[in-house]
Amino acid sequence: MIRHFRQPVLASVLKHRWVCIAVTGAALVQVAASLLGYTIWACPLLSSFDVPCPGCGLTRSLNEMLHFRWYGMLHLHAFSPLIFAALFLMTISVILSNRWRELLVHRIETVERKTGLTMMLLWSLLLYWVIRLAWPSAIG
Amino acid sequence: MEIMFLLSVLLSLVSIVCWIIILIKLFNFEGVGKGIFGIICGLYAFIWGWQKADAHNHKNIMIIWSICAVVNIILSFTSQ
Repeated sequence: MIRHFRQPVLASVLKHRWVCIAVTGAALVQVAASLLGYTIWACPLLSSFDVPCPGCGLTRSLNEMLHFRWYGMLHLHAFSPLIFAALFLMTISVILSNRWRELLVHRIETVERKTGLTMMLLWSLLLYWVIRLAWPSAIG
Repeated sequence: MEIMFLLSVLLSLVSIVCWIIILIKLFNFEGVGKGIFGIICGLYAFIWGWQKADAHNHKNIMIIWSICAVVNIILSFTSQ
């Protein structure tokens, strides 16, 4: 159980530069299009069943963040600052040279193995999603 | 307009099925952490799916998912 919690998730994503490029690139395009009033990637769960997925509201929340509307940001998705931090780390790992990127990945992997922080946050996000599904009016 | 909407819903349903199939493989081969990450970030599951398409023999699923995603994006743009 403890080993499962100490599994490095973010570090193993950061290891692959082109995965980071694809995720951050898609996020940038999605947020930019949303700022212009367009929707590129509509959530299939929401559009088919009217049920939000765990990531629903993140684009709008990041939009609010770019406008410095902190309440709106947290109201739409409480985890958006953490997602933004993860995207920031991915962007950094794209920019860094191989040597520095390996150092960053190693540091993050050490933190993940020691604390199990990423796994705890991922589980919390799933719990937050369940709460949002159960009480849609209470959060977001 | 209604046909476009129905087509979009149908494509979304197919996308969900493909996503679930890839998620099951993601959980099996990469563990719970990356599996949950694939639930939260569907794009990660999509990228992983293409990355391991040949290794785990699911290229056809990825092709169907990609077509659905692209057509859905086009439909979403044309309807705005």
